[in-house]
Amino acid sequence: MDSIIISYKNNLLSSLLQVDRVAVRKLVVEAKEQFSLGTVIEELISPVMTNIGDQWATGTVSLSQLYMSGRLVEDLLVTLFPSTEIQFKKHPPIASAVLLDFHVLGKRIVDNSMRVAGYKVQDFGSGITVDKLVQQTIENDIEVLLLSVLMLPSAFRVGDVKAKLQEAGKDVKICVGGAPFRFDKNLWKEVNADVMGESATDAVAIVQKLLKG
Amino acid sequence: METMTSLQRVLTTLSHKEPDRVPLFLLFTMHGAKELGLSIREYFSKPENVVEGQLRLLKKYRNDAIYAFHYASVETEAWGGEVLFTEDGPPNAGAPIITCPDDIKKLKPPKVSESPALLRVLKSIELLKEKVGDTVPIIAPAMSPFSLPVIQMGFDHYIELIYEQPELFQQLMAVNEEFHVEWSNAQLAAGATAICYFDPVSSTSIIPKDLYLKTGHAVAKRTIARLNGPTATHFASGRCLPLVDDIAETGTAVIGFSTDEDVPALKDACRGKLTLLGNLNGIEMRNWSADDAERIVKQVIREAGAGGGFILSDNHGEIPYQVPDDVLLAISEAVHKWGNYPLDWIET
Repeated sequence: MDSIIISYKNNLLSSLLQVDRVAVRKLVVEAKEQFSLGTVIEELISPVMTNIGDQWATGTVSLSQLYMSGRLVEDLLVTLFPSTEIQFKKHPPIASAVLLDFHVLGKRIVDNSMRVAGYKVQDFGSGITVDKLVQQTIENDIEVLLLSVLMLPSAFRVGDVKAKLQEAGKDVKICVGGAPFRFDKNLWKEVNADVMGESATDAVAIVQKLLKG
Repeated sequence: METMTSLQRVLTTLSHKEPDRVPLFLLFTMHGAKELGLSIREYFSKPENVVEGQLRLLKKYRNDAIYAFHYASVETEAWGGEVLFTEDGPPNAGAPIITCPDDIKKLKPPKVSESPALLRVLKSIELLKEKVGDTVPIIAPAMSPFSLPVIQMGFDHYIELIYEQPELFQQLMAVNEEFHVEWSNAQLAAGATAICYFDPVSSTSIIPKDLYLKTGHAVAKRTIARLNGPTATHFASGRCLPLVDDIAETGTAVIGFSTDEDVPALKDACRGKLTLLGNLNGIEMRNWSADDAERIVKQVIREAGAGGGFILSDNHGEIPYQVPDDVLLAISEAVHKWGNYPLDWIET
């Protein structure tokens, strides 16, 4: 079985990077006939998406390939796997948002990766202000916030979010990602985030660790 | 060596010869507001403010360029989009103006003469040209037709358009190219020396090379050929090493390169073809000490300075508002100390 899965992984990786929707679908349909749904998601799709995210972080894969891979997988999950078949994990409430900016690309990759890995993430949208984000986080008892930013001033506002949540007595873990954090590896600490993701697909591993910790 | 004017210095390095020293392009936008004690919104509301700000910064930092850039979303404003001002950063574009495919079919390029925001930029350039004449280059940025859709329709929808709706993509490019050509040529006519062709989406950080060749490269070749002046192509922190020959083919003279780049390899690839503009990390720069600034400036001069074809700048095309004056002065001091040609301090 291992060698068959490895072969599927290689082919899926190649087809996703070429954004070949037909080939991706054919591969996943075939794999689904041979393996359980859990195996297809956890041992085929999820590791391949992580691999693409890692390659984006090292510069060997482009952002468009990372994003479109997530999109193709998202479409497959909807069309091939009825939501009743997918085993979502039991976990505390998690939400994602783009703080102040309207650039939703990174957030969409995060949301896709999390869904593939079996996490339900509440969508707080883009262009959200500090106060509204804090309010929604409290109202929904969110324990992990996944925040994406593009502009440096937006990155600084993460510190305001953290401070206002603490003032309200909420210990919410904040995971940040986006260009300013990649270009300054210490910025996430400066704004009092709990952790930073190099690539949007890092979100899964980060959340797993945060929830264990 | 006789001291050159900034323009002579830049033209010499562009011809891949060594000028008197490495030119320094600190690409200031918002720092002019600080100099004048104005908010960013107030600063950009009058061309006279930008002129005064740029002239003060030119002198204070012994800079070699005037940067006529106001903010990227000035173009979105012309297309009918919203501009969101903040107290400590560049004005951001509001929600996308293209919300469905049909919007592209109806899209028409705005007229430069009918956009108050663009006219303010043109007025700034005219006034700056009157002040500096032919001594200092005036760099005027314009978003490439290929990269503008990120703010026109959102990054996610734009990537989907490129991959999945090639005909509509071409339609959008045709409209954007018309606007870009009119806008860039208007800036050149107003007195700009060169256009900074901002094209981050073409970077290999954003799209793979094979897709670039079919899209951003073709757009750049068509567009740059219609401009009445030279261009510098800027990837706004994105990587471009695998594209060097293709970029040179677009007719551009300069590339703005990333702090992520392998500088010696890029210098080798560009030698005699393209001048390098970069690559100081503007985000990290906020926390540099004077020693950091000197060490980092020395390093990039060591790797990219020999033989000319190099201008010291940041890697994104804009110095963040939060970078303190002390750091900027230390960068300027370092290039005036270590950037004098011949670079005989560099061990062979």
